[in-house]
Amino acid sequence: MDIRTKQFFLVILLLASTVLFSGRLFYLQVIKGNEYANLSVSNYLRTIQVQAPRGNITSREGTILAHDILTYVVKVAPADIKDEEKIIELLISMLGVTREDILKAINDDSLPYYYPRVVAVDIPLDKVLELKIKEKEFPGLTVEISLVRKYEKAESFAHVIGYLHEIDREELFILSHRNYTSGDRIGKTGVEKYYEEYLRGIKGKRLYKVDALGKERILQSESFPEKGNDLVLTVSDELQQKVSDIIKDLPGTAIMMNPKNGEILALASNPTYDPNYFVKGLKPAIWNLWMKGKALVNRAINGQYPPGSAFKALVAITGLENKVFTDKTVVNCEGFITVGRRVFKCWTYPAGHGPVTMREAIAVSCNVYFYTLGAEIGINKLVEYADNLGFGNLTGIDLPSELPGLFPNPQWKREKVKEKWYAGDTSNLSIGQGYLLVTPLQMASFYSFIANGGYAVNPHVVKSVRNNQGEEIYEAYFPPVFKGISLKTINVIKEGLRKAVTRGGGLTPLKDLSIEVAAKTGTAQAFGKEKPHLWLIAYAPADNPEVVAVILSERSKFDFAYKLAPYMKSMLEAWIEYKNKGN
Amino acid sequence: MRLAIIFILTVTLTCLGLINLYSIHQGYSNQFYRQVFTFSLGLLSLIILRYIKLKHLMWLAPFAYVAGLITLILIPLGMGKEAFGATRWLSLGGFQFQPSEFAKIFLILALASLLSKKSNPLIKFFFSVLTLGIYGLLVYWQPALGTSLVLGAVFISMVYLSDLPLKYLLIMSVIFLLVMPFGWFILKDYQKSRLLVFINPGIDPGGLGYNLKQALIAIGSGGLTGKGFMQGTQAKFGFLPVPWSDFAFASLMEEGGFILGLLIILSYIIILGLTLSLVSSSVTPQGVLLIAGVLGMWGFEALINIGMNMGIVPVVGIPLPFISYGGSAMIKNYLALGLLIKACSKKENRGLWFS
Repeated sequence: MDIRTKQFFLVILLLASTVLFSGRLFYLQVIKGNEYANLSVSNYLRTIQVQAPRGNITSREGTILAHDILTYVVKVAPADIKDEEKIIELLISMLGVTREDILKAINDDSLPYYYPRVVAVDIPLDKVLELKIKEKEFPGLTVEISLVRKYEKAESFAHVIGYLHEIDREELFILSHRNYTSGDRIGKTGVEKYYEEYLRGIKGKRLYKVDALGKERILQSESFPEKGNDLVLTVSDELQQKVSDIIKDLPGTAIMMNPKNGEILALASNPTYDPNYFVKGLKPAIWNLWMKGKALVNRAINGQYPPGSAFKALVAITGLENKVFTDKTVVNCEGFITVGRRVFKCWTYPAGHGPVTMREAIAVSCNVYFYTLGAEIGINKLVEYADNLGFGNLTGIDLPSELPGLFPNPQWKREKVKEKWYAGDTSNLSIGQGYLLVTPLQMASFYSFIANGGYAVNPHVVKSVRNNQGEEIYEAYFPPVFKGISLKTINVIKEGLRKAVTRGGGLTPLKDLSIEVAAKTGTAQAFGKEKPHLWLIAYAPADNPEVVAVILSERSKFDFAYKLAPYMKSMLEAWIEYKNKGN
Repeated sequence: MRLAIIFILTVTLTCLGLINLYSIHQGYSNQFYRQVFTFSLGLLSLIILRYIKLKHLMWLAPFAYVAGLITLILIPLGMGKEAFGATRWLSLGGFQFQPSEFAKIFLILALASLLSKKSNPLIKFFFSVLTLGIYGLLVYWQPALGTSLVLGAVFISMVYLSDLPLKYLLIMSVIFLLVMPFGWFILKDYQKSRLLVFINPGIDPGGLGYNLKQALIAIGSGGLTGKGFMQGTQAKFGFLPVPWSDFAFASLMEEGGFILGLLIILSYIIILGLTLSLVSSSVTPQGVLLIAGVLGMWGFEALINIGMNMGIVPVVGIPLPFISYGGSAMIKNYLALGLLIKACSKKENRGLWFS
């Protein structure tokens, strides 16, 4: 090869390099220029978000139930750490936190590397001073004042208010566009979750200019955080406390609601939990205890039970409205009835109630009467009315994850049970058994509709929302909705319910109250040898009801629902006392 | 004329290097004044070289080679000065210098002298490999992988443009490629990880990939027109590693942008192209070989350095000729320019044919 050819190849090499290099430079600087420009800005500008104080939650009386308080927290910024092992050892020995928790916080890659992460909260003052001195010795470690949620009367209000906790990855993924970052607090249940947007406030921002070592921070700009809005609950501090106390030995739930406007005055679920543990740190023993008792489940909206006899009011309404029966129609109860080839017993079996009309049938809760009526009405009409009056549907309460219960129908049975609908299914349904499931809140809502003379209301727990200037920016207003049921029909039911108290049976304790009470019991057969769920639903005063109260005793220690009467009496007494204070 | 253009371009690039030093240190820079000083030393060495005849240079070549060898040996003997995990500097009468930079020039001289001898081509080739090998291994042990690669490039370029059969180079390349996989085991850990990072920059964003990523951010964020003089945040705030030396190109790109980048790339290509064309105007084999050596050295240094800045070549410690900070490198580059001038001088070449 002569020198010319050799040179030629080198020229080719040079030209190829020219093309390659200028092409690559063009790609980096012109095509990807903006992308890299953003990266270079995020290199030297650090944004630290400043937590916003969350809005307070108060009872309808104005008692503070949830608020932010200041405590000391320990934070660690991975980018500034010199000796990670030393810091971990210090924190373990001084604060008793676990290595796993610290490492989890340090290695959280959803936050920028420089971002300080909380590793311990609620630091006692003596340790704050000790740690403050050590800040210099341990770069990356800082002790700061931070906001933490504090719940007052926590166990009583837990199921209404819910709790806050650190945002998890899944939520972060969904909500990152709404300015949430890892480590933020977010409402997990209750109104803390439902009204998250009102409560959370607007985070502040601090923009620093830094060099590669994270030193020489110069504050570039700062925007201050804005406190969230305050919630005022419809729930009364006084009533809630008393109701929680009354059902303390009664696993289940108790609800007290104003039938005229849907305001929930009290809503207790037993067993309950202390949401403050979510702030302080939850020990496994407590968590396991809660899990065992399903303490986090709000039985008023997440518990689904057969309503038992309490459902008979709906069958009565449907019968009257469709003129299947009149209020005078007499059914002779012989203690049992045969439907198809099956024998359905009255609860008095082998005795019978004898001839009963509708008012009496409601008062004594005669099964035979309602088997007969139910069979006459037919499943289709029952489905239509049940749906209209809210069974199988959400009540729409302003609490997250409400369950709709279940109202069965022939189509549903075909699809889910793979069986056709038998006449016996209608019979079971007519006395509130079988596949039917309701939530206690649905029952409260249904009896409010009766108490309110045929007007349904929307149950809710938040009365209003106030901004930082004290102005109301939201006020709950749900006008009663006429459901197309005649007042005459409703009045027959109401008279029957009143009679259940006055006739002198097990509900007699409710007669002793200073106001007239109407009530209905319910016994939901549980499967096998399990104890039944018992219901007692009442409203008062009977002629112009201002309160509807529901008690559900889950797998009750009692055999008969009327044994709940003393509990109901205490609840209504509490309400009367509350009312007499001028509320 | 061609030499004049090369000279003007090298001075321009040197000035760009000075501007870069001034800018990244926001004007408070010892490096800047030192670089000005070594630049003048470089020009001085150009002038001194004028008074040494090429004939004498060729005669001096073996002695220079041995002198370079001694300085390279002195380093592992404990007289070196450590920096950045490698021992590459030697202190002499208050001056610190990098023997490995001068070794490049000594190698060019030695190979030029050796390859122009009339003898058996195979023996010639064997001795050239030996000449390269001794220097290469000593430099590699410093450790300075980049510099030993430059020495290799000088060797290849000179053998390629010499009268030795090309098959020698081919056979050597084949053997080298076969031995390469075993070579992985003699690479130092940091060199292995540099290679791995080059193959997949995402593997270690906080560590080694960091350097490359920051270089790319620096270049990319410069955009079309750059951030402006003294406005480069990547270099100023310390995100870009060694913006005065290995990543000087990235630093210049951040402030000067695509337009400047194109000018720099074209400058190097023109320098290299003109150097290549000088081959045909040199009338002696020694001249051709000297030009080939300088071409291999500058070409490899410039292309690899710019390539690694832009992430198309693995990161190795190779400075950018004329622009990167470093006194020994500066003097070496102007000495190389001096060699080009020697090689092309008609008067000088007389009587060299049969030496």
